[in-house]
Amino acid sequence: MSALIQQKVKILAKEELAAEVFLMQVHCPQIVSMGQPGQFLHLRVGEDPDPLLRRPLSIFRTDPEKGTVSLLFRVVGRGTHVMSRMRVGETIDLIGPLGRGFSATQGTRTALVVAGGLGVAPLFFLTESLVQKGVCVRFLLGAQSKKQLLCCTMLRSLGADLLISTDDGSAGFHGLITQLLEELLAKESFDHSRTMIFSTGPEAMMAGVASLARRFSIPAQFSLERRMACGVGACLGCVVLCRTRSGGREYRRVCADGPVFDLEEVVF
Amino acid sequence: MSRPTSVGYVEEILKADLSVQLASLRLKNPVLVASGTYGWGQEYRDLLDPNLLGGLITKAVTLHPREGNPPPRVAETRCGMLNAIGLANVGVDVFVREKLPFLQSLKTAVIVNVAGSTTEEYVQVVKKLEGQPGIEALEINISCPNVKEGGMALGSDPREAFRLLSAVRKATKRLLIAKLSPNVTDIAAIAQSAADAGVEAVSLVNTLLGMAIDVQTHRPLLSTVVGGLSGPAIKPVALAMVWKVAQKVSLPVIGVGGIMTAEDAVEFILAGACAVQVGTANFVDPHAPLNIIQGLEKACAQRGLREIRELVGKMVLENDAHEIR
Repeated sequence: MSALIQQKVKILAKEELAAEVFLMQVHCPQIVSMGQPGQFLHLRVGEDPDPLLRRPLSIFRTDPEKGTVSLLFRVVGRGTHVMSRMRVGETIDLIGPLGRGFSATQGTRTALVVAGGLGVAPLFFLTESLVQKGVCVRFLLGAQSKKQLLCCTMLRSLGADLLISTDDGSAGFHGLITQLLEELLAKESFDHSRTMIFSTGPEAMMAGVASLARRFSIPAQFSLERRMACGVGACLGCVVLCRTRSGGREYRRVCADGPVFDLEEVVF
Repeated sequence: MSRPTSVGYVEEILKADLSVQLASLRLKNPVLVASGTYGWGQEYRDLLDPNLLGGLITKAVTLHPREGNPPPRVAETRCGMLNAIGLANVGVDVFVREKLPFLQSLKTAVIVNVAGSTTEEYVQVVKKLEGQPGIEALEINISCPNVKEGGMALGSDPREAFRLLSAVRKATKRLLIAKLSPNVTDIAAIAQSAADAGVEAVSLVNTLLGMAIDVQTHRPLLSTVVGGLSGPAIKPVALAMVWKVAQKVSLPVIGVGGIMTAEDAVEFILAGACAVQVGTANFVDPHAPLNIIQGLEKACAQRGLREIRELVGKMVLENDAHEIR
């Protein structure tokens, strides 16, 4: 069992990257040394009993030199609203690193990383670690329009080959990210023993990515998001229906069995 | 040994005795973790040493494995949360084989929560646990609101509760605690039935029936529409019920419902609870049980009490104001 910490950490920076989308940086060397791509932190957004529950956020990026962890979030409810109002210098209580992260199989040479909207949050850290391992990363980033594209410059600076799609055609490929992925898979013949797909985003998008992965026989992993209570596998509140190896179905916990699930497990 | 022990000795005698007696069971402190919020005891162990707890109550165990309700199973509400887990658990056989060994290794009171759809199922679970060492008590769950059969249905009627608990009583010599539902007209009547059936203690309350609707999609936030409300939102309701039962029924009461802080625990103790359970607070802050234990020590010190037991049921009412200490 991996170690887990609970700690009050200081907010070192907070930046609004796009409308209602924030990048928050906290000081937490222990998370930096333990956290794996795809794992998440469970954050208490304040001392008040309302909003009551913690909020799970993926580790967006770590900086081993500064001992900092960055978190990317969009204001979608009361918890993220409170977080968006927190100031640099304030502290926030976190638990982590939690969950099962991404795991590229040995021998993976090419990664097709498919991010829809805020789906970039867990995939940035993954990309960084894959590039460091010498894996060629083709990063497919999709959004409704140019304004909602996140982290393009940062992704390019990692050394990823960035492919963009927008629903309205205001930047990159005009259409859905799954269409862009389909074109790419059809055009280039990827060696399916050395290629993997990693994807996060809206459920419908991931469903499309999953069916393409099956059609082209490329292993894939997906990071799922669900409302959680405990975050540590105790309450069974965040379950999703999964396929078992024997062909049956069972509920698995997004917080402890996931949040990253294999193509063979997921049911969209 | 570097320092003389006199300072330590003074602290020792000033440190209040937090141990409480729950019928025949001695708890080292009155803070237990509530069923369903603490899994099988292992999930939080990196964050809090379970041996510090007064006791640990497992997730409900049923005769057969249960997959539970479809998602979504949890939703946040103002100062509270709704759940509809539906007694998802591995079943008693797997529990004994895979979960119990860890619990047996703990130096805290392990209480197994037992649930079923029929009286016979409760009895069979209890019998399968009979003879297993390391279980200090059984908490009989006659109050789960999230299952179609059994659970709350068996615990809402005093006669039904009496029948069920009497059958369970005959099946075991273990200490029995009945966990009661607040979704009844008269909780004291149910508690009295539990006493009549030979149960040694009652814990109250389980979750309150509640629901919430997403006004964007017009859909309920829980798959089951109605679920169980817990958290600070229900604390005053739970407190009133604990007080009522403590007044009317001569059984030890374990208070549970929205306890987040030591002050909350003190309220329940003043109302007559001899122990408390921390539930939803574990999700918010895994250190909550420890903070409450330490806060209770402080509460005793502030009041000049040497034993937490002296505080049980000591709410001051207008007509006995002369008893203020």
